[in-house]
Amino acid sequence: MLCEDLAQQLFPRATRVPSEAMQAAVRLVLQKLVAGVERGLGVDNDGFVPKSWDILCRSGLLREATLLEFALARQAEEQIAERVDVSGAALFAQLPSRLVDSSDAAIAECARNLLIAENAAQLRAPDALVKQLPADLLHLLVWRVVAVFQAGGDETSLSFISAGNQLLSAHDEANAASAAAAKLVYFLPESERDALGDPRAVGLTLYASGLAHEFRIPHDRILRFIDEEPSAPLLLMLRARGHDPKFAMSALQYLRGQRIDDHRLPEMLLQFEQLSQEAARTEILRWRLGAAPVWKTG
Amino acid sequence: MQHLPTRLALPIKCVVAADGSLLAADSAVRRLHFGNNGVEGGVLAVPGLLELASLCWRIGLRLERTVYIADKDHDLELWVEAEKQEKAVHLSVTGWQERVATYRPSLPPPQTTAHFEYRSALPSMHVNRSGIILQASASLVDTFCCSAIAEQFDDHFSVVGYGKGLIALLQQQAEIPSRIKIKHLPSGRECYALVDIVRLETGIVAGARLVFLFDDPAQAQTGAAGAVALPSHSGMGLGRHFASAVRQPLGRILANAETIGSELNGSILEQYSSYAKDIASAARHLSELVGDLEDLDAIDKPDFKVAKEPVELGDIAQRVAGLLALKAADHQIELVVPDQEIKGHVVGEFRRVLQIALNLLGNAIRYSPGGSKVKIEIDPAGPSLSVIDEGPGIPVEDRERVFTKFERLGRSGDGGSGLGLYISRKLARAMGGELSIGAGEGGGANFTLRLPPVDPKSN
Repeated sequence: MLCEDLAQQLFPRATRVPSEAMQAAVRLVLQKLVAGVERGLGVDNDGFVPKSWDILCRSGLLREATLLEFALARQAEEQIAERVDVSGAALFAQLPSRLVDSSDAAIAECARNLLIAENAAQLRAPDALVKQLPADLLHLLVWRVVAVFQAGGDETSLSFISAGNQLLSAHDEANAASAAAAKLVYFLPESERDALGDPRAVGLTLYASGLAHEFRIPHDRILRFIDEEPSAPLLLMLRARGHDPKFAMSALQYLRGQRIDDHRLPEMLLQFEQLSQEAARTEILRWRLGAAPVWKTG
Repeated sequence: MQHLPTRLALPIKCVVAADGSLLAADSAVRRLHFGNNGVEGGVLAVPGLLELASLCWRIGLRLERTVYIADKDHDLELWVEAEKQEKAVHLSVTGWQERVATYRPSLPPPQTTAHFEYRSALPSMHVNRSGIILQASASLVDTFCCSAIAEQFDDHFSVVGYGKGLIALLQQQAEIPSRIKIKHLPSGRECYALVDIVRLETGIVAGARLVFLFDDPAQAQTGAAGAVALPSHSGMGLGRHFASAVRQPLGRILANAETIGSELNGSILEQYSSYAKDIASAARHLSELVGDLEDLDAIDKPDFKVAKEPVELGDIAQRVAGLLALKAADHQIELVVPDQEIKGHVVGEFRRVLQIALNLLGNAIRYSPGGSKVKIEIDPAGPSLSVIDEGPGIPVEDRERVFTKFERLGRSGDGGSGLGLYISRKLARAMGGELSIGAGEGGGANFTLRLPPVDPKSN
């Protein structure tokens, strides 16, 4: 599914072909997305595989880099979330929980939206997953699915178009966890901004959004960097933020859990200390320039 | 990093028309627009905002995004809400952050005062001074169902209301309005296009960039969406009815068999997993056969055409080797790929060249003994791409027969359909090239694909 040309686009610095397990996981996410869209269109399907899946695959859906990136990020998010245990006092101490009753109504609303979105995202059900899509990806997916049913040429094809329009108009990308987190990060008061550097203090979504905001790299790509094996991308981001080795190793352990063994940790610590903040920022700049250019005015 | 108070008490507003022109704006946006060589009533010259407006217009949904702008000695980070209304997109900037610029790219000087580049969702086309279409967005190719790249613009389109074609206007350096109405000659469809004349430093017109605007956004959408379900050669008996009828159940078999085989829904007995993998393998084979039959249906039509675009054979070699690396490993075959420095620049349709190369390499892997090598060679002088194996080879008297339809040379049960080489040669010839067979050094087969070289004078 992830042919090498696409893999190079999605993993610019990767030397390995994505594993079969990853491909299977991505396929599952995409199948859920298509199933969610079909449900939104009123397609009756009791089966595991969406009705339009086969034709969509043949017509290039699995080569849509933006959708694949979304699916890969959800997969990464799920894996990180499994490692990060947030419950009890830790949850209440996290920034979104604290800001939900902020005296600043706008900030409180952002925090509320984020909590709602994060909870919805955890459901992993097709409908919930569709709600996490950015508007442009949902638009792409809806019309791809509608086109499949239209191609059937039956009398119901017009009703699919109408259902597609309804599904789109009911969608609000601001309800997606990443969008809600991006808004909260953007409008976060200066006094709270330091907390963004600590994943324990802000939770995974907000932490990823903080990094995305700081390095101007898309939120989904940050999630993949955090989950990437080996952990060089995360180490680079931690170094670029200017964290000391002790904090960085603790953040690394927190986000990557048992994936770091005692034998590798000292070596990583050494590499981290040898890397200058400037070099780390330069490398991240290269990642960013690969994704989006900055244009100069006047 | 510098963070200043960001939330604006009063949002900064601007209104952008469907064609990207700035209809109205508060002073802050006007400053950015004019600072970037924008003109009154012209296309919004702030790339990030224009991109957001274009996306909002195209998909018709309300959007809230961060927009980055490099503004003189610092960067701007805006929080922008975009909403499509009847005839325009309304942008509302509710957050305004100034940040220390971290990067200043050294861009070449603008080619004209009004020229700027942006990554837009709008379909566009580049036409050189001689009227040759150099590049077109994929959605345009889908919408107009044409393979017009490297062909004359005037052979495919006319400028409505002008006695002369676009080329004549360009060559005379005549005053071309920024917005023209053009007609697609084969289909008779009309639409508007924004014309951005590109001049060299000497002032001579180098060509034009046309940004296509569809009155009805669904028109462009239909083109793109239609292309999903109906490939360019659809509408024929086999392509539309047979292929889609067979693919649906086949795809379901494949998906279910793969799901069961990979035990995604829970573990099963090993032998059942193996059966499921066999089913998946058979379904994949059938699916490939359906694809071959569909291709066969398309290329046997008299009006079958391929695009003419620059293709680099070295790149093709690297890609096919990557795509089939696992298959080669399964067969214990070592793939030998050419150095990345070796290039072969030809003219052809990228996906078709890739298809031929995949067929050749797939055959070589399929028919070579385990432990042998399969080499891909590029001859930059040819230019050609060869796939050489160490298999039993093909006797001289049978070499032309392998290119005939359904010819298997007595083989069976190996997953082949007898159509691949027939299709590949047809495709090679449709691109003005040739696919031939010879013998490799060790007696194996040597398939060579030759395609017309890129004209060194062309761009």
